[in-house]
Amino acid sequence: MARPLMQNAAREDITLVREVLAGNQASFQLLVERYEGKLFALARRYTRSMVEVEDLVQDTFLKAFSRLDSFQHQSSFYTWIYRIATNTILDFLKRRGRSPIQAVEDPEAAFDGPQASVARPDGSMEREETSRITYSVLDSMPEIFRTVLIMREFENMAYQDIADVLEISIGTVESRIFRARARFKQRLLQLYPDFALPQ
Amino acid sequence: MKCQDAQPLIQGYLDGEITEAQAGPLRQHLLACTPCRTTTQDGKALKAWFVDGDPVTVPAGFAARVARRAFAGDRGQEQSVGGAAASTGSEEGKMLSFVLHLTAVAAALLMAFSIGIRTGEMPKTTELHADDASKEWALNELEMLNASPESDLEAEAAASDSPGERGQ
Repeated sequence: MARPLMQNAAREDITLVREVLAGNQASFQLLVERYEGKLFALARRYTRSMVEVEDLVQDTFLKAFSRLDSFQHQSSFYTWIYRIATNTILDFLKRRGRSPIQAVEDPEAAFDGPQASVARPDGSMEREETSRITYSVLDSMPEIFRTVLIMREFENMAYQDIADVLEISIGTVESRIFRARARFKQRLLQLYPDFALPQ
Repeated sequence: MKCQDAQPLIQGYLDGEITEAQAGPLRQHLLACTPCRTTTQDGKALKAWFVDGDPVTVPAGFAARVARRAFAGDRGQEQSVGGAAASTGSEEGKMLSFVLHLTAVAAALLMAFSIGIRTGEMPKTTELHADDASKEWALNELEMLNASPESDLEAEAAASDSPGERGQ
């Protein structure tokens, strides 16, 4: 099992894509194996449910397969499938109606006031514990903010890439990230006041 | 650089989104300005919270399953995602679509039918005239009434008013 995979790892994505288009199922399986881990990690950042994660990743690959002939090779295969995955996830969140923005609150106008400083995660804390706290804060935030923070902080996406995926201006991305961070900090201090730095 | 120029650049600086031409003067400013330096340190502290936990485990046989489905013609949930729940939703959607189409067809037929009835009842011309057959029948009836003796009419009226006859 390991030997064929190692041999196949050297094969370029572009070669595999051509083979898939020629009807080679094994080549498509190789492409899935190559990127499934990254896409599972991506989807996991948006939903805690592993059933939903698996559905989203599977759906991403099936969509990619059905549109494979439109893959232009101008970007890498991963960039192309990453965008399909992101759109699939965002569509799913939209359909599920996960947008806890209170009607009385304008998310773009909230939290401009001064806030206490937040400490770095405690050095003695396990990485898993830090992650749990971070996701609990993210999950309590409106989708509009959560999405840009995930894209920027976990996916390391450039402002321009975020703007392209969300179809908003780069200026909006910048201001949304700014407000999202302010909101994250506020929620973190609300939920875990011990992390406030003494003034 | 002044604080009012430095503050808007700090986020971009932390995210690597500003040019070196902007970053150079900002660094100089941060060395000299405690409030702006504190803002930058706060931003760095916040970014330190974004760490992933344990890596996600991909279910065994996932790739083979997806490849099989793809080659079997499954195009993914283009309309919805979510496993069984989504499938149910899709079935409901199909049924709703069928009912809506059926309703639209029924409405169109009903409208065509009512237009047909209305058109059939409409006069063929704008001229007003009586039906000749009806006119002749009415005249005959009138003549018969005029011709019958008054006594016969009274007898008929009395007969119709009599309760005893009604009961029989």
